[in-house]
Amino acid sequence: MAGTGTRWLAVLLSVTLFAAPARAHGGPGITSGNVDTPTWLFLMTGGGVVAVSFLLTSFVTDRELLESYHDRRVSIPGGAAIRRWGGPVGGAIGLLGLAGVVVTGVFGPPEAARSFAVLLVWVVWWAGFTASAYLVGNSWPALDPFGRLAAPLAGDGRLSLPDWVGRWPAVAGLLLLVWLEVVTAVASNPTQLTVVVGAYLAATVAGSVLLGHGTWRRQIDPISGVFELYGRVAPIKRTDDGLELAAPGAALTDVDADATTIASEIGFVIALLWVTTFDGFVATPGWQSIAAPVVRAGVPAELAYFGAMLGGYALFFGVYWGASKRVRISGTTYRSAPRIAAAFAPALVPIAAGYHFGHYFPYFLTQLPASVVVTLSPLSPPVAPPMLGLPGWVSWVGPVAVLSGHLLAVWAAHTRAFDLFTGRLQPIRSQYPYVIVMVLYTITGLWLLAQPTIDAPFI
Amino acid sequence: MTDSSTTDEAERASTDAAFAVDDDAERCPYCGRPFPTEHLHALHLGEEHGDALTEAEAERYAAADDRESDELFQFHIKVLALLTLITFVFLYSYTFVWT
Repeated sequence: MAGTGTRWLAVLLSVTLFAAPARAHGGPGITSGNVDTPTWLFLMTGGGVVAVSFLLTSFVTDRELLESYHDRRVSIPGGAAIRRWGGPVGGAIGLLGLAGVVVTGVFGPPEAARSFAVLLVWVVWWAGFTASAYLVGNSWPALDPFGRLAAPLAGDGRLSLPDWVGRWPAVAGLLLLVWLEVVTAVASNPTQLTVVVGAYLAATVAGSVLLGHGTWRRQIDPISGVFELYGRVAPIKRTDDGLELAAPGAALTDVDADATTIASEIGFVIALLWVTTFDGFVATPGWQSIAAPVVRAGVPAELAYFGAMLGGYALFFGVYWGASKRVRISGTTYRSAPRIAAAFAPALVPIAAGYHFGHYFPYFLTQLPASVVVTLSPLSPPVAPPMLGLPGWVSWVGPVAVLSGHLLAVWAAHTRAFDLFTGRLQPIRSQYPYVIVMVLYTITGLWLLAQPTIDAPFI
Repeated sequence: MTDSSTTDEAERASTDAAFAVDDDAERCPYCGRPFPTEHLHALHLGEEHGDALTEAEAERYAAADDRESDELFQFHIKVLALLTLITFVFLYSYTFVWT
């Protein structure tokens, strides 16, 4: 009897903990473990949790409550001082970091595990700092060494872009950066990394001089755009002269559609969502079996990756756009599809953040001791910098992070719907198409996490 | 909250940009927002212009709000049924299918 009781308890626990026993593995550095739950059940549980969370949010229909959730801001004491000091201190750290990357990239050791440049860019900055942007607040404007170096040269801009260009250059830049990260050795080769960092610096200076710093940052620079979006998920916001706290997801309101064009602003959000997925997708055996016949037919592998990158982006954009059109029918509204898409696009950012965290947190932990040790002596680091062996619970971080991102997205979209639509049923019904898309997307994200991680093939 | 006609016109212009609609749609007399059904229009009147309503409009809103409450109740019953179903599907899957 005791055995049956324990078994029931275990079953209940696993249901509550989102099928936690599945040893889904996250990013690089994690060896694959045993999958205790069958994959279909693991995926069904993930999709189920998102669907159930949507059904539960339908019980929160008090407009005043939802409005105050959105609008409530608590100002942080000392915020003004932090802002005043954050600029110079952050700027100094950013410039020091950039100088360190360039110097060690050229003169430092060539091995990735011992290279200050590689560890700073990929572990500290892209894994750690990015997480701080969506967990704490976006401090990239204070840190950004590229913008700071370009600022003295930048004027009002000598050229102006036609309106239709919108934010598409930033979309292209983001896709290009992630494609480079996958197909070249920029993630592990300090020399290549330094070249990319140098090229990015040159592009920032050229862009700021020719187009003006505002246009560069708003329409072309993918990196500050990414941090700006991630910062919307975070609790701490910058105001004109201080800092304030907002409720989770409360700042995920419309994209700034009037800044450029509505489609390109939405396109940038979708690009962020897609690149986090692409990163995981190309490291699966599934991609290997899709790409194998293409590469064997003589297509260069880099081109196959590029095609997959563009095709996947078009698919994501198309699905989101199609769902936004369906909202007009499910919600019975005259609101135009582009405006609906603009209103709900930022609600997708927590999904990208959850996926980023699930993918990079284990990697960050593993490499953190090495980063500290190498930072202490960047030009002559120890032969084998220490790595952290990860405890078993870390394998749960991936699925839990992906699901948390989706839950926050469902909640943010729910509160937005009450802003946009009338009554209490129209906002709920309007969300049907998005919920279907989100359940499918959760299943995709968890499937990617449950795949054994391999090295991106053919390159 | 302001009654100046310039604000109204600006609001009307921004409203038109946000909607894709035929010209003969029923529009809110206060802000010009178009509505596909009379029910939604009545709800909007109370939610957005509660202070400025005529008596007839206030009655329309009260009736629409009643209907909305009834429909929401029915909707929630269906949601509870669905939640129960999902719970049993998962209990079944975890206990019997996955052993």
